[in-house]
Amino acid sequence: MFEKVSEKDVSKAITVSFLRMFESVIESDVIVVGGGPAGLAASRELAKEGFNTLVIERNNYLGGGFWIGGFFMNKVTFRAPSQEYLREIGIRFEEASPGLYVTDGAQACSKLIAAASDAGVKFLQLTKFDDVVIREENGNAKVAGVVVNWSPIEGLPRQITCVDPIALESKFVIDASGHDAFVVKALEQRGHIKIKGVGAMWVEASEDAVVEYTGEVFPGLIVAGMAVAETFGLPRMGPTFGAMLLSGKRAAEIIIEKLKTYVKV
Amino acid sequence: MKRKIHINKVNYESIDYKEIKNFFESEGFLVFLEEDPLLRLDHKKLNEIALFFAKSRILNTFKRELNENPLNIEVEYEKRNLISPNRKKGIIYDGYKLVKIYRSFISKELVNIKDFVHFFLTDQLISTFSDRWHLRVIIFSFPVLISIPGIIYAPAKDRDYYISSSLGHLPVYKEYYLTEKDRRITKIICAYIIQGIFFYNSILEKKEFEFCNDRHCLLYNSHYQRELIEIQFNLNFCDKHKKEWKKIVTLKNF
Repeated sequence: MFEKVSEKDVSKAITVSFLRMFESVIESDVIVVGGGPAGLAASRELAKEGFNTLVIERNNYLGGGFWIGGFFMNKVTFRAPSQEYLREIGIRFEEASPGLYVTDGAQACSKLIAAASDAGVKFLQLTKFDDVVIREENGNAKVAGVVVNWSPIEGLPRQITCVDPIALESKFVIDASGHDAFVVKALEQRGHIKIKGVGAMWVEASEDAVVEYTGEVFPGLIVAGMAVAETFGLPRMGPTFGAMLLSGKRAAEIIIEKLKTYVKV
Repeated sequence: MKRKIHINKVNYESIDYKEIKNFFESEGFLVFLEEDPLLRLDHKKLNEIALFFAKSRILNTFKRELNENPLNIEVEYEKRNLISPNRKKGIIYDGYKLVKIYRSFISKELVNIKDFVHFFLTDQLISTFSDRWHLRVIIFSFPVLISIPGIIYAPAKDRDYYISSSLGHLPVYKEYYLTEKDRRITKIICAYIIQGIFFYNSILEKKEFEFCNDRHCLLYNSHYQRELIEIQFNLNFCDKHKKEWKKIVTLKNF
């Protein structure tokens, strides 16, 4: 039934294809740390505009917490006006109460991943953020990429995993790593920034705030999604996802605007 | 000479300012409705006040520390919000800090509390610290600051409300809960302005301002939204405070 190929052909196809993709993102326009809803929405918008965009995700699967709505129940909710984004990428939803929409986690998440992929986003899964690359530009520090390693490395005994990480460069980095806010925290460790920690849960107020505070927190670094709440001490949100999508979209808009006038020093 | 109440408005569709004005004029006051001062800031003042708002943010409801070192994004958020007629309401501020900002808008000739009482309404959430930060409807200070979202969110709702809301349902007895568009808010603001007038009066009489223990008196300190709707909305006094109110409204000045 199937074409006859040897094992070496399969291995070669995987390796060559992966390396071609990998080489193309060693220097990219934007690296998005975190493949959850905010990171996927941001990367989709950027790739749609033709920017070379890479998402790194420490898990094998993309989507983050978007598969599950809360308490292991696979329905995810959105508040108006974020349902318009669902409509745009073809996610089915129904109105649970005025202005509150509910959808299947599986369909919503897989559609969002597909939308990002269709737009041309490249992905590195099982890849863990290790550190931030900082450059001096005109006397000022700027985030210029990330240092990454395979995430399984973390789970192995140190004596057998002395594996150095590698660096990837980009014009901008988006921290969409959720409550972990890995990139922001790496900057904090170096004394560049002080984060404020997430506040108590308050769905009604926090979604607006997360979108409103999405922005460039340090030259070259944009925060999106729950990393915004972590950075600015905003109330936590609970199992509702509209702000993740709209925050991702806003992060992309900010970068697109900046890339129009970007001059690499 | 009639006593003068200055009420600095805030844009909120559920507030009928004409009704507030008529109410206090019928009680014998002269009422001045002023526009929201935050909407007419010049560039320099906008920068200063945005920074002050950002520094007045509460980061953790269990820690007294405020946001002493705001990031640029936070200040930019405040700037956008300050000049917007429909402001976002996701941030909680130290109520006494905001009072300081509003105090700076009162002209020197109107500072005399014997002749003028000043109220500023805000569309932001305010709180005060005791064992932790607590949301507040009103800050008794100079000026008196009344938070409209505070009316909606500060007094606790019944347990049913939180359970049904967390399950994504609308609460069953909607009449027990106030929402952003609830027209009952206007009368409740009147009740809080009266509380503020009692507060100013207590300063003039050099005595401590006290709430009333009578659950039918609008000077009762409502902690639950049901109480707010049953007590403040009805604008009734107990006998003692009814007499005191009559005394206040017949005074020549405060």
